[in-house]
Amino acid sequence: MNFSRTFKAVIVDDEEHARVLIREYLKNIPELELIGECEDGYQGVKFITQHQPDIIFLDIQMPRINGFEMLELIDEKLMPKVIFTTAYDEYAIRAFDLNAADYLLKPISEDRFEKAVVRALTELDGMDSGKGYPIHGFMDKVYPWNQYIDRIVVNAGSGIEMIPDHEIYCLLANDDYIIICTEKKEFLKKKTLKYYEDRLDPRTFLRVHRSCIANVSQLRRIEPYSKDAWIGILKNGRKVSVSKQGYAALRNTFDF
Amino acid sequence: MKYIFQERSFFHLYLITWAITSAIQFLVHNFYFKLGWIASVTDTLVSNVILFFLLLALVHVVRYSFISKGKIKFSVFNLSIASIILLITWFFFSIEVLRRMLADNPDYLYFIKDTLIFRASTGILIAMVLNLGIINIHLIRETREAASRELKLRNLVQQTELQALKNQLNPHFIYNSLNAISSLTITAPDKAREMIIKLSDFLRFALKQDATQLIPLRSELQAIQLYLQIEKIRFGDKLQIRIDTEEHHHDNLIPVMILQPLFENAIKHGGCLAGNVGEILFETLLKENDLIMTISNPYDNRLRRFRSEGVGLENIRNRLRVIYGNGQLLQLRTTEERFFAMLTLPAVKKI
Repeated sequence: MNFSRTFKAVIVDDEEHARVLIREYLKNIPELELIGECEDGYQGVKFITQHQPDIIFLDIQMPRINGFEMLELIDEKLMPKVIFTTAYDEYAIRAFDLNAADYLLKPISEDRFEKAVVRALTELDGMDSGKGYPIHGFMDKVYPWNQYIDRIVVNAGSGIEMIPDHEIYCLLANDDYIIICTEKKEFLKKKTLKYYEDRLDPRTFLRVHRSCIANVSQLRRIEPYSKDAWIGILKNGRKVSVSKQGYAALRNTFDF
Repeated sequence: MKYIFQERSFFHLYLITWAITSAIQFLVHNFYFKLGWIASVTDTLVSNVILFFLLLALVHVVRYSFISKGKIKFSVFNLSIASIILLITWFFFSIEVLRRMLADNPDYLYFIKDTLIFRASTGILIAMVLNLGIINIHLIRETREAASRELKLRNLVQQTELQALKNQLNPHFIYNSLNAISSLTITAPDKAREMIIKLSDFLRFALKQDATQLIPLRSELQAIQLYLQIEKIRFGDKLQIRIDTEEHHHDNLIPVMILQPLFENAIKHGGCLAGNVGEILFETLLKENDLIMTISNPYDNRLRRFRSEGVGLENIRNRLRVIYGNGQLLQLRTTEERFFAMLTLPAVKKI
């Protein structure tokens, strides 16, 4: 293997032996230097933001926040290449939708591990150092897994805030951010509406407008505004725009 | 409903009945009334063959009207009306045919006049026997089909149970353990060997069991100890578990592998919260006729994760439903700092 430089790696996994195994495998790949290990997603976000590794080995099922939620909290400009390491094969599709470099199933074989690393390093070598890798991929398809997310994790001040789905009133598009509105608070997140339209339970969360997903159980009333436009009033008094398609979707849901 | 003559035995019986009836009729005519063999054979054949074909129509009547226990009165009524019409037709038609065929035999003409009532009653008798046969066969068949339906249903239930058992053992636990073993073979081969043995023992216990089997709490706890030792190797000192039970509770019977998913759940959600003080605690309590088992784990309220109950707990409820007819024997409760899973089972010591 000949690369123009050495690369930095981080392991995020709550099991010590799983980290040890990857550490051992990495000893045979001098081009990839292990600069840190994290026991959970909180440490992961902090470490990755501070040290900006090129590659992370990421477990999915971890206490507190899972691997996917951790990735959402990392600035896209700092996004390393992600190699998932997990015992769960059911998340593979979701992982590849996030442009994961690879998806290694535990128990991990050394052969398979090396292949994944070499491929990721080859891709990295062709890129400029310090450039982020887009983590949102092709979002316009229907997801085959039927587990919808039950909370959204956001950076809030110095910490991390978990918003359970039933506390969300609506999500609003705002340039390349979305605003997540709860009864009294608002949170910013650098994601698209489409991203959450695909992941939140569609029985509760409806795209009522190009710029709005509303939690229909928090909707109090709908009023006509003009021809082909309506206003939805949420239980906390907030008003959201409802388009023609959104109105049709609401009619369909509530059968009126 | 199948056509009744697809029931081969029934068709055979029908033919045999006719053969015997015909034989008796011929013998009586020939030797008792001494009608002569030509008259005897003609009479026997004409009356029986006509009735044979007419009564076949009865079979078709029921072919299109489903006989079931619920509708039996209606079916009997249908059959009776059809029988009466057929018998009247048969009676006049066969006598007319016979009179014409044997017009040159005055003895026979007298005979036929004298035995009209006898002839009619024989026809009625045969029709009644046939009707009873048809109804009976349909009812038997219905019972048989109901039994086969029930068998199919029971098979389905059993398969579901097997599926439930398969689901109980979380495969990710096995894969993660194997990954840890793989790691230990490099760093601590002795520990790897120890873990392989423990994992094997535990798998042997978990996989050989029948989903509805009841075992003493003692045996279940032995398996739980194996499971916890494996998890301790995986998670190290972060995992703090205390089992606090009284020895005399251990004879009570509980469904096999009902506690393991609860422990797994506790470990997943509260066992490894780094920096979280607290331990996983298992307690038993005998209250009146119930054995109450509680597993609790530290719980971080800020994680805001309470909607999904998870496959493991759902599975336990399903099994409780199958075994005790009540999925609510498992109760979940959350306080600010701890999560409780409480299992209340009838205290039974021997099957």
